[in-house]
Amino acid sequence: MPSSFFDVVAAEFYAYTRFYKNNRAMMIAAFIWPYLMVLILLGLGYLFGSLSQYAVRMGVRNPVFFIVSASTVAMSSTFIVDEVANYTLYNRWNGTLSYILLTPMRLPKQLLAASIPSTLISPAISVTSALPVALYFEGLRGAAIIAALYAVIVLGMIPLAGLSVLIAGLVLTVREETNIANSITPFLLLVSGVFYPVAILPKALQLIAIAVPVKYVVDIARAIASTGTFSHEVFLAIYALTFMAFTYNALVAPLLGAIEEKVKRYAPF
Amino acid sequence: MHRSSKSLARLTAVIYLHSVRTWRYKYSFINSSINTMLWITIFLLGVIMFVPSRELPVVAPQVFWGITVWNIITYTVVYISGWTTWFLVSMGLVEEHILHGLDLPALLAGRLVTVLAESAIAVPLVYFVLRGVAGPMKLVDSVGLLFYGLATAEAMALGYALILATLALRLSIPGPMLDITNFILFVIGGIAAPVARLPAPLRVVAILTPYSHAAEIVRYAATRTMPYLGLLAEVLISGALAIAMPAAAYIFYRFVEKHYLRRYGVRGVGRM
Repeated sequence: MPSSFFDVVAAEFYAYTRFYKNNRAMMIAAFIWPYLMVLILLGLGYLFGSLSQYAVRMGVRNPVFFIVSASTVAMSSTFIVDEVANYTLYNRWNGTLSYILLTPMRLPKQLLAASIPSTLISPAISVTSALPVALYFEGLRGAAIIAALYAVIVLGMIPLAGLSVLIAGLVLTVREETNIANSITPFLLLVSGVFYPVAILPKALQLIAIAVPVKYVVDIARAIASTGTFSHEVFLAIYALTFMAFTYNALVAPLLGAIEEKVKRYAPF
Repeated sequence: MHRSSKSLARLTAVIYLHSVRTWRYKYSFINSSINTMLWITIFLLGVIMFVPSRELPVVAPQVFWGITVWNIITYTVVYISGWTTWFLVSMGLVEEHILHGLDLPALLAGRLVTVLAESAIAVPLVYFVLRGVAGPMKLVDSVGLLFYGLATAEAMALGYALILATLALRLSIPGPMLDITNFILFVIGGIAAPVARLPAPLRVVAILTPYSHAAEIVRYAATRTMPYLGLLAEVLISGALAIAMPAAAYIFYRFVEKHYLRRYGVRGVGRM
């Protein structure tokens, strides 16, 4: 009996959780990483300027809590883009990509199924690491904000799903040793203004930002981290993300068949 | 063959190997340069939000050079110690090199070709972004001292990277993950900011951090910010460390090779 989409999700979920179970150092590193980002930003900010200046320019009430939340978004909001490409590269290095390509399931479906567990678990680890700071500064309200942040990060990755499969296909066909498209992730974060207002960027980048889902995730994070409520602005951003989820994946869908054919011809070798 | 011409031939072979490899994986290389530039820009723009606008022309060059020195140090460590684990060990090439009597530290040091080429692309791009945000700024006052500071920082990073790479050959932890001090020392170790700007207790940490001496010279060469220990002292300390650290790393590798690698082999961790 051929495997269903959910069989693959379940198998990858098992593999991903075992990976962390057997690599506890990696788990600890995943918890610590957002704090390293915070340390750099706060450390440099303290040495060269002041927190109050940052709070005024960013329009946030608690700059430390905001930077922790923003670091979590920076770590997780584009995770799916790299994850799908790295999954395919990892399997090619291991010599298992040929077997994946031989399974009856269509490749885009297979790649999406494989990326779902990590796309859900990895942001969960990141937001959990932010929880102590949220509880310290904001109490239970902080925990609710972190939970909302997780939901928004996952929602923000849905519009990027089709794009992720396209990039994975591209990465496989050029036959390089690393993910040659992983600069897309920091570019999406750069134009989204994760640690600064988009208004300071050049006009061209501001225009690109309008079409980038991560920008709306950042907007929501900033709004809920500063006010703790779901304002009008937050709902508008959620509508924008939902619209992008349908539109972007529908636009990418016709290209997936072509990229699958190309990958099957060139990629495993 | 004469000993010196044999060494020269090996050096040429190592540089050729890494140049060809960088060219062969040119898309990965270009992507990595752009990736570095983008991440640095994200943090730079974040830091600028802390600084009052009137202070930007003074602060921006200091931040720029601090991040540049850190970028060179970090990528030297990642590209040497990470490559050891994820390429040499994974492919089983360590034993191959030892059996052929080839010098592993020299092979690893050749990764500097890729590191320097990447920095040569990423650093000017970061400058253009910073200039766009902070306005025109003077970046170099003394080219000779700037080169000396960057070269000594690179030599120290090479020594540190070789030590981590050697440890990674025997431990089941990849080299870059052993570099736990990277972010902390960047902030409190006198790399990001002048030592004189740090709070008093952190100045001691900074003085004890080898890279801070090279960073102080770079800052002086760029913005005439006088080093905390004085320029002459920093030039001498940096020079001594730039010789001592790679030498210590080489001796350490030889010790590990003789007492562990040849007896018990490499402890591989594979791809992660």
